[in-house]
Amino acid sequence: MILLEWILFLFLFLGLVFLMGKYMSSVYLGEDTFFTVIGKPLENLIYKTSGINPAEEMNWKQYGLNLVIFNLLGCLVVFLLQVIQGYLPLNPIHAANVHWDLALNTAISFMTNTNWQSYSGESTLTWLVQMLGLTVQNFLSAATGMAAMVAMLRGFTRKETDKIGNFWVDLTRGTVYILIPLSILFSVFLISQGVLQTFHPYQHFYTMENQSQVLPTGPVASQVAIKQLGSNGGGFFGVNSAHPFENPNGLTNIFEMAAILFLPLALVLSFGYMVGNIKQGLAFLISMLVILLLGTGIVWWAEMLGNPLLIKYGIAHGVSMEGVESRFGVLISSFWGLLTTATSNGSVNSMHDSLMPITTLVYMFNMGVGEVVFGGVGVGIIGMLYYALLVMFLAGLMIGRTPEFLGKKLGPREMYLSVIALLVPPILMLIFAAIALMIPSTVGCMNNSSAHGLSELLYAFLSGAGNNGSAFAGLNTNTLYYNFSLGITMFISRFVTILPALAIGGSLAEKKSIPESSATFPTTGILFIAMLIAVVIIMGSLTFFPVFTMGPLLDHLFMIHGKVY
Amino acid sequence: MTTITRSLRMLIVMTIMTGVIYPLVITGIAMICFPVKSTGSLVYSQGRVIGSELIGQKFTFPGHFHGRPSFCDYSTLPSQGSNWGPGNSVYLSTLKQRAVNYREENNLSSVQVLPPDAITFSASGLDPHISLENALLQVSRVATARRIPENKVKQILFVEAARDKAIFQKPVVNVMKLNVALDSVGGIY
Repeated sequence: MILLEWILFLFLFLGLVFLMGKYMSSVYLGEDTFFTVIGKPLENLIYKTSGINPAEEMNWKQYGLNLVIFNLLGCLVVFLLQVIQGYLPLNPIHAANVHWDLALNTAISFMTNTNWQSYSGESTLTWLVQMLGLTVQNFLSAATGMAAMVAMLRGFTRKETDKIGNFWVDLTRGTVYILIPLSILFSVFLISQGVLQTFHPYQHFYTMENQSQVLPTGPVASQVAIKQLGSNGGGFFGVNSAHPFENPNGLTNIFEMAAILFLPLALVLSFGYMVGNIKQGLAFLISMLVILLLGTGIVWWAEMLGNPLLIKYGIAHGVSMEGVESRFGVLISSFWGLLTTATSNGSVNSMHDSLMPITTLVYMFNMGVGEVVFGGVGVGIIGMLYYALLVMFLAGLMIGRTPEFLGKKLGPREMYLSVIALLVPPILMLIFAAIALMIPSTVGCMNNSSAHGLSELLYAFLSGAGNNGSAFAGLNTNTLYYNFSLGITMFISRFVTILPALAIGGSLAEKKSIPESSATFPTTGILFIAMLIAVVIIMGSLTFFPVFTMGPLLDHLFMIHGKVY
Repeated sequence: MTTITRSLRMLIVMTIMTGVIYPLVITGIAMICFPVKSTGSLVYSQGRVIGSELIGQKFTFPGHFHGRPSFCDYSTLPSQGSNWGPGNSVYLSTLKQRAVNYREENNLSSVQVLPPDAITFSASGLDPHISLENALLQVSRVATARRIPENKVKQILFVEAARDKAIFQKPVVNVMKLNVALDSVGGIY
């Protein structure tokens, strides 16, 4: 009976994903959809008020410049709002101005779609900052990611031109036709289940046993909706989606999981539709699903094995509910963690710090390979395309032929750019993590020692480099070094993912399209899928195996052998 | 220069749309359609607020069912979990103590197997629920303290648990609602 509910939900969900995939491709191709009646006037109004000519076409440098400047301005606004929030209205808790290093970290974090949080929203930020700063960037960073993907895809579909579209048009369409309508629907659903959406002041009262307690309030649902849909993940509250006011019951939980997956999954299909090769989209989808299922198997095995140390205290089967909410349980919570690290979402409904070490190893792996199992909205496909180009290069070496992908010959330039995009974030995070280990005060920020402490630190930098935002929340990262180094990591990783994508799009667009021949390596078959999965797993393992051995793997061995720290 | 002015104008337009109009429209819908749910699902007793049915609160009286241990002791600003790793010695020693306390409080034998939620900290520190197994182990204590028959307490427990049964959710019972129901029946505690 319970299984039936899940299967039914899964089928409904997949059906919607296919529809959404088609719809989004229509939106970005500028075709009419059922929403055009409302969307078109709004879209034109935005162009008019912002002084934009939607017919203008940009080459990749212009596209990239507009994208970067727009993002930097957004970042600046979030920063400024925070450092003067004490003087501004909508401040029910009389929060003080945020210190500059935390404000900078948070501004970069939300601009880059990471949503790393070194603070707890309910006790640090004003409603004004949450709305005008964070909610806005939740929309814009998601729309930016999707725009970058669409621009890259134009490289495959266009020929002998250097133009890859108009950033402002792609940004506006993503926001108006996709993110806003979905967020409105989702917010209303969340509110119907008990998620807060109010401007009443914090409620002080005495409990049934006469203890004083305060209920935090605020415009929560409107932010939670976009945080899940846009791969953002930054919670209104510090404990994120474990907070009953963000995620009150089983139904909101499964819908939030679906929302985490919805656009990343649908965009894989949109990619297929947009390049006119839905089979390619499906090949990517299958590769991603296989990696996800592998991860699910490992994670569930680890959680069912539980923590043997707990058995001697009389806990049934050593099931570890530490840091897990009772309404969700360990299996659903650990699956959520998998989804949130596979996509670049980063919201949590359990405390990852307290989950089983092998579970967190899988999470770290997901983030380490650059979140290509669905990935963040837009950037997930970009990441997978980098791997696909790498696969084609390898295949080309094996059969002694110039690699091609989707009818375009791949040259050294595309390879350089892909490799830069794939390697810079891991290198950067490993260096910053290594430096952190050499600073005693930074090591002192750990909540746990031994191998688990290393996991905490690694997780933080992996999360920053993957623009994920989930955390081992025990690590206190509100220090100058962490705020700064994580800020830089998030910033560079974001743009080193997006800008090479635009450059590849630009350089592919200039090339001629070559027809498929019998010697073309098929990129939709089992061979390609197997190679793609292998390359992702091998790349991730080669980069991180040594440090994962010292962190989560050792942590696991300690645990099963009863060694405590 | 045009890039900067265009970016700025776009940012202002988008901020008004997604940062002002969007949350306000949603709040408007919330006020009209879900006035109770959107403001925290508050529970009243004799005209004053005694809590939210979604947020756990601290229960220590023997005549009340007790919620899960909370790392932040059910304080909400901010609330948090312990973030202790599985082999953390502080975690394990406090866990041991909580297991002893739980058994003592509920008059259980030292070999009684405990449901995991009974002695572990929740993620939010505000978990409003406990598992049914956990609640059943507390029935005898509650009944004794209130001087009412165990069957009566069990009956209330099952009624409340049935009410909290929900799709895609573990079988749990809301501690506060359970205690409100108990209090309405009476008994000394």
